[in-house]
Amino acid sequence: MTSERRPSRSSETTHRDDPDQEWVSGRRRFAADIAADTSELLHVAFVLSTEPHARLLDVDADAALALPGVVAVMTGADIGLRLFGRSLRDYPVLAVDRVLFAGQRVAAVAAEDPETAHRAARMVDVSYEPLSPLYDLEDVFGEHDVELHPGAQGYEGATDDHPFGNLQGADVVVDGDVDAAFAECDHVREDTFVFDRVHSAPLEPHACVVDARGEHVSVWSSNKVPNRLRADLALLADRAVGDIHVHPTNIGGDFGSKAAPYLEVVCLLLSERTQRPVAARMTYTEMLGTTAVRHPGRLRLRTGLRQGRIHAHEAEAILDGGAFAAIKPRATRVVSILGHAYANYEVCVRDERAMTVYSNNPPGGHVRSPGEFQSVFAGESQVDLLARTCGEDPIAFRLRRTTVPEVRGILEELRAGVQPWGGDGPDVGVGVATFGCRAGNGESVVAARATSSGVVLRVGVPDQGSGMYATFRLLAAQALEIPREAVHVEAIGADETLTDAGAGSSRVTAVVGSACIDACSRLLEELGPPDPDEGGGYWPAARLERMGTPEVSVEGVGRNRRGEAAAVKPTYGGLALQVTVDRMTGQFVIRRAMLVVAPGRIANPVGFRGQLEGGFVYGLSQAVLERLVVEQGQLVTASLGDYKLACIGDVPPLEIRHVRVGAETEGELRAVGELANIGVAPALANAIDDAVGVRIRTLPITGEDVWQALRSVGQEG
Amino acid sequence: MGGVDVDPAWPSIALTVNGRRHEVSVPADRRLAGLLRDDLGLTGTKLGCEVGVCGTCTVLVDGLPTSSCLTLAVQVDGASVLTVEGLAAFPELAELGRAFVEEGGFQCGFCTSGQLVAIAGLMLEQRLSSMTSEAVTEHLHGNLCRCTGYYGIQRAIDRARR
Repeated sequence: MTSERRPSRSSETTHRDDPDQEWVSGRRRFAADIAADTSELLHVAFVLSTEPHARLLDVDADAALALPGVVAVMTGADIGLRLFGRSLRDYPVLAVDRVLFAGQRVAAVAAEDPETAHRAARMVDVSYEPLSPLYDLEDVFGEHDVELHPGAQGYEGATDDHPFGNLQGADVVVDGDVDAAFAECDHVREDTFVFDRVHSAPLEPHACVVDARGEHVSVWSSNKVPNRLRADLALLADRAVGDIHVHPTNIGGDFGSKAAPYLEVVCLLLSERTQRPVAARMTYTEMLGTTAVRHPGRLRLRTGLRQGRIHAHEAEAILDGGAFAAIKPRATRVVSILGHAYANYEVCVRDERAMTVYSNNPPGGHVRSPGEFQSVFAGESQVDLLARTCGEDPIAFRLRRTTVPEVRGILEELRAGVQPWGGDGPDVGVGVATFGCRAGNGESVVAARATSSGVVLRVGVPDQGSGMYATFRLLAAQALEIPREAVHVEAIGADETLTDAGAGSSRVTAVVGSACIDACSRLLEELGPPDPDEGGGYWPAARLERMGTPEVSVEGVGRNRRGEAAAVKPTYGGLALQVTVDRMTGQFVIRRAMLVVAPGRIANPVGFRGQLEGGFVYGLSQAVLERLVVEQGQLVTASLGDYKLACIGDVPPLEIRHVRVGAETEGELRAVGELANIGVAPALANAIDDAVGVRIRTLPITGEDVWQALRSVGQEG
Repeated sequence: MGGVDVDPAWPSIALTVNGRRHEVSVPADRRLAGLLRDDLGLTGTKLGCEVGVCGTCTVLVDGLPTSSCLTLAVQVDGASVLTVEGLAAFPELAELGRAFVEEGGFQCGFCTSGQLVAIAGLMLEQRLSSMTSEAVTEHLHGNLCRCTGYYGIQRAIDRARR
């Protein structure tokens, strides 16, 4: 056994030499690649509960331990109740006395190779006493005496307001007396929208390597919030924070999935016990069954018009949060579902309420636009229904009621853009939707160092797959007027010296990007103004030589706090889709799409376009193809063979247009990562209605749904 | 990485990977992806879905795109395997890599090895430029990308076809 501490692999490949080539040469390394060349490594496979709700009677690992190559088995009884959670710590690292969903981690096996670990995991004999389950909202609100978290008040993060035992959380936005406002309306409509479960589904499965030999712990992980991972590991493995080094690691896609320490705590404890480095990598079935799913549920919208204006709006959302609240970051334990329907229009009085409940299903988490996807579907569908009821053109209806200049510009561009699409045959329709995206709250510090050979930006945020480091390089090159090749981004992983909120919530470009710009202006304060004639492009080299110093180091800060005057402004978008519907089958084809956005400053044109294109297809995939089927608590679509993601043959032609409203927006960095995906479902539902006159209020939207709707009104082919 | 002697059969196989000949002894249930990644250290080939759907593990076996997650190592005895690490040996593929960078053909990069290998298979057989774009698209149905929406990949292929 070697005691040599492995170097930070990621720092070897953090865009220092040839950042572009790394991506296309196979040299870009992810957490599982660190494992592949770590010597003395043990591989961990988890034993997952087969029961959705049961008392855990016994975990018999004798047979597994007898298998040659198996080194250790760890159970909940071995380590006791260790709870993780982002705002509420209710999720045990390993189940101790009960399991609350099929897929919950019950035990872990460490073996010399992955095949043996998985074989041994299947040999662990777990005895369960099944308990009454709560499978869906009807069960939760039906007659029963099942309380899934009887000790909820004792969880760290629990709030006093806890009206009944299966409530995960509640959220309210009220700005007036909505009943009085409805009484003043001359037209009111109510619609209930229902959405099924979908999965974040990044292609890289969660993976980690943990080496806890000796005093210090080294961690390589696909986790996107290294600072919190380190704090969680310290707390849950009884280690000092300073003992834990979370190395920067590339992440193969996130979409909300990679923020919880599903694997790392147990790997740390197993590494301590075995005195070997330990690795785990989820199977894709484990990904689909145990990591972030979008909350299924329903959203009832009631909206009233008074003399043509939107006078009263009421929303009530009920969401299935699954077995644990742990992977949701918001203190309300409710995803961001309120305030997004009708967000772009003038509404006199709002009354919006949401609740999340516990069930014996996989835990709900933050999937790209965690609540916006559902609420914009509902809101922009109902806006269309109101327009049709009033006999108004849907674009004109929106234009008359929007208060946002950017949305007005977007709608006018869409109207001009779709005009040539019109009159294109029977059963062809066009639908539109407007939407917005706000950067999440957070603060980040970036350290910048100018040397004779280039500028190094040290960042805490990991690259979760959006290509953000390329954006940072471009921002610094522009701010300092130096070649992009002279800027290097160095990821540092978890580090108490650099504040960072991690990747997520569409915050990185706006918050960390602003920190990069701030750091560059501080560099300019130290170095003096740029002079590209000095030093052949990279002018700071000559400047430093004249100053008689080898380098200059500074720190820059970026932050966003929604609601404050200086908060990052929203990005707005609009989408138009043209569809053809086959009345014989209900099948529909999206013939073309036009996405119009009002961007702020576009720091990285390739990355910006990629977020819009990728967001559009992500939304398309979740609007029409994806459905994570869980029946009686059991995952049915348990592989990517059954859980369909959009492939290259599924994407329609997409035109992207930009509109500029006011010169003051040119310089601001805004969020774009969770923009385009939320418009697809409502634009599609509106287009289908336009084509064949039926309204789909459920997600995903399938041909069968359309056919059933046509059949119900006698309009099928 | 060492295996465990639970299976009496640890067959020896010989294969060529990226032009280099290897003779290895592997457990009978080791898959080609495991052989490449764990035994030969070629981690450019990624493991995603492990059911032959996502395409992140695509390699060329005797020129044909193959899911290395579903192929046993013993099945490639005597074969020639090309992985993403081997593409640099073909100057005619350089433009494809550049086009992926410049056209936004990737974001997180996890699927990129499989995409490049699948397209390179067509280019090395000089089929890409004569195929219809529909046929190229169909060829890539088995290479999923969750980030880009495929438009950047399509632009990169269009450049490589020229």
